[in-house]
Amino acid sequence: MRIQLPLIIFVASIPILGQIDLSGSWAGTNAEDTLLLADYTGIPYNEAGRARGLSYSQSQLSMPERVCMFYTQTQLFGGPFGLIISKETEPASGKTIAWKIGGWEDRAPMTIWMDGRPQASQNAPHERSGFTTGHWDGKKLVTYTTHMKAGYIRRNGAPHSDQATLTMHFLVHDNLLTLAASLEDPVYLTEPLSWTRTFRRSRNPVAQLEGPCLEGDEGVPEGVVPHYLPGKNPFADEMNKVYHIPLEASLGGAETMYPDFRKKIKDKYVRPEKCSRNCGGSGGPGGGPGGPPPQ
Amino acid sequence: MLLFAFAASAQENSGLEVIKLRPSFYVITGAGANIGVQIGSDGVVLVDAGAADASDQVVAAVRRLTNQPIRYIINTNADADHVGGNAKVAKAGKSFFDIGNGPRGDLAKAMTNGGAASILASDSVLRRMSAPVGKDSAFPADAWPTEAFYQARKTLYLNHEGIEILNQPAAHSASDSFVYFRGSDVVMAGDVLDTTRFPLIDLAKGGSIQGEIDALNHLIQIAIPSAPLVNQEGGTYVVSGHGRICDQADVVEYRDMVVIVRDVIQDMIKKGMSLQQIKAASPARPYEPQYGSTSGAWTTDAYIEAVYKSLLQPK
Repeated sequence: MRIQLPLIIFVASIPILGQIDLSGSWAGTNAEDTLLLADYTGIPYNEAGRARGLSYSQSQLSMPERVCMFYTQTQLFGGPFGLIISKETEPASGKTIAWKIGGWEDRAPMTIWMDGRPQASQNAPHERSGFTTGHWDGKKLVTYTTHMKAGYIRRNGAPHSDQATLTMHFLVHDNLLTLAASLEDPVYLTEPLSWTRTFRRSRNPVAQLEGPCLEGDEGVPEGVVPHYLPGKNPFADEMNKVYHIPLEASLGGAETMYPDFRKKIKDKYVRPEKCSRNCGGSGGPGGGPGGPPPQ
Repeated sequence: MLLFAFAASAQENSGLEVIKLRPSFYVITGAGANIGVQIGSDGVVLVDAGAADASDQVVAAVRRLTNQPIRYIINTNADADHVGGNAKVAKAGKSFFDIGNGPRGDLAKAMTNGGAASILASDSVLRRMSAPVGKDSAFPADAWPTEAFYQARKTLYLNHEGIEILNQPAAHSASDSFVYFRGSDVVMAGDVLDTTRFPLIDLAKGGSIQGEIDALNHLIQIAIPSAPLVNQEGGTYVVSGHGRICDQADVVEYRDMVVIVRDVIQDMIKKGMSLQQIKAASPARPYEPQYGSTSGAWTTDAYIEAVYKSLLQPK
C-alpha cells in the first residue's frame, strides 16, 4: 500500500485522454424561440407533420391535462436558458458514469449515461427526459436520446412524435460550448432537422429553474381538446401577413432548409416597409417594432 | 423511472419480454396482448392471459419470476389475444377455493375449472366467449370466466393492495375493463389504449367512438401525473393493450388524437360528404404515419369507417 498510494495519486491527476470536463454553468448566447404560429420555416415536415401543426391551437396550453406537461429535450435549442452540467462518478474508480444537464422550469433534466449500457426496450416508458447514452469521439461528446415524449420542435405547436430521436455533439472551444444536434422523426420529418446553440462558461452559477407546477383553471374544461379543423387555422398565413414570407416557405418542408430555396422564392418575397413583430433587439437597425425589417 | 424499468427488463428466449414496473408488478409483452403480473404472498394475479399459442411461454415467464401459484386471471376484454391463454394458464395455477370431495366438491370443481386459477371478467366477456347449450361457443368452456360480474366496478384486495376492475361500456367493444392496482399505481388499460394503431372500435361487438373517448377520459382521470414536482418523472403507469408502457401524458396525446379525428369526420358529415369522400379527404392525416395502416386487419380506412358509422348511429 505504501508503494501503491503515490502511484494512484499520480494516475488520478492525469486528465483522461480526449475527454473534457463539462461540469459547471453555461450561459446561453443565442436562442431560437419561435412563437409566431404556423411558422415551420426550415422544418423538414411531411404532409402529416404540417397537418398536425396546423391543427394545433394554443388553447391546448390551458387544458388542465397539459398545463404542467412542458417540453421535451428539444427545448434545449428553443429555450433561452443556460445549462448547469454536473457529473456522476463511480466512487471506487472516479470514472464518470453519467453527465447530468439540469432542468429548466419547462424542460426536464437530462442524464447522459456514459457506462455503456444498452439502449432501452422499445416497450419501456417514454419520458420528458428521454433516455440518453453518450461516448467520447476525441474531444467531442456524442449523445443519443430516445424514448422522448411526443412534444414540440418549436413552442408554436410544431410537433415531433414520441418516435423522434436526438443526436447531440458537445464541442468545447475555450470557454464556449456548442451543441450541434440533429432530430430525426420517422413520423413527421422527411430529413433530420439540425440545430446549433452556443453557451459561454459562466463564473456565476446559472439559475436552476426546476420549479414545481400546479395546474389551475385556465378556462378550458377537462376533456375538451381545442384544435383547428383542416383549412380553418386563422393563423396559417401569419408569417405572410407579418413578414410577407410566402406560405410555401412558412409551412416548412425539407426544401425550406437549404440556401437554394431562397432563390426559388425570391420573386415571391416583397420586403415589408417596417417590421412589426419579433424584430430582434430593441430598436435601431433591424431592431424592435417600427424598425427596418430583418434582411 | 425509465432506468428502473429498463434495467429490470429481460428478453426471454421465447421472444417475450418481461418488464419490471414496480417491486411486485411486471408486464409481459410479446404473447398477444400485454399481460400484467402482480406478485405477492397471496399468489399471482394476471391481467389477461395472452394468445393461446403463447400459453406455455407465459407460464414459464411467470415461473421465472416467482414460485407463488397463479390465483387469478382478470380479462380486460374477450378478444383472442387477451383470453386465448385463459384455459392453459389458469390450469397452471390454483384456485383459492378448496374444491374438496363429494357433491359439494363437484360443484366447486365446476366453478373453478377443477381447482385452476379463477378467471374474472365482466359478464359481457362471458357472453362473448360462451354460447347457449347446443350451440358452438367462440372459446372452449375451460377458457370462460369462472367469476363474471355485472357491476360497473368490481374490487379485490390481494397482495396487500386494492384492485379495481372498472367496466368501460361500448368503447373498443362492449366488453372492456380497466384493472387498476391501487398500491402499485398501475392501470392495465386493455385495448382502449393501443399505441400501435388507431383504436380498434369494433362496432359489431358493441364498440363506439363516444364510448372510446369516454373510456380514455376515464383513464386520464384515474392516472395521476407527477405534479407539482414535474421533473421527477413519476406518476401512474398505464399499460396499453398493445405497444409500450405509458403514463397519463401519453394517454392525453392518444385521447387528443381520437377526439381530433372524430371532430374532423363529424364536420365532414355535417357538410354532407359521403363515406367515400371522407376517406378520400384523409381526415386522420396528421396521425396516419404513426397509427395508420393500408394493410392488415385494422387499416386507416377501417378506422375512418368505424368512426363514421358510429357517429351516425342513433344515440
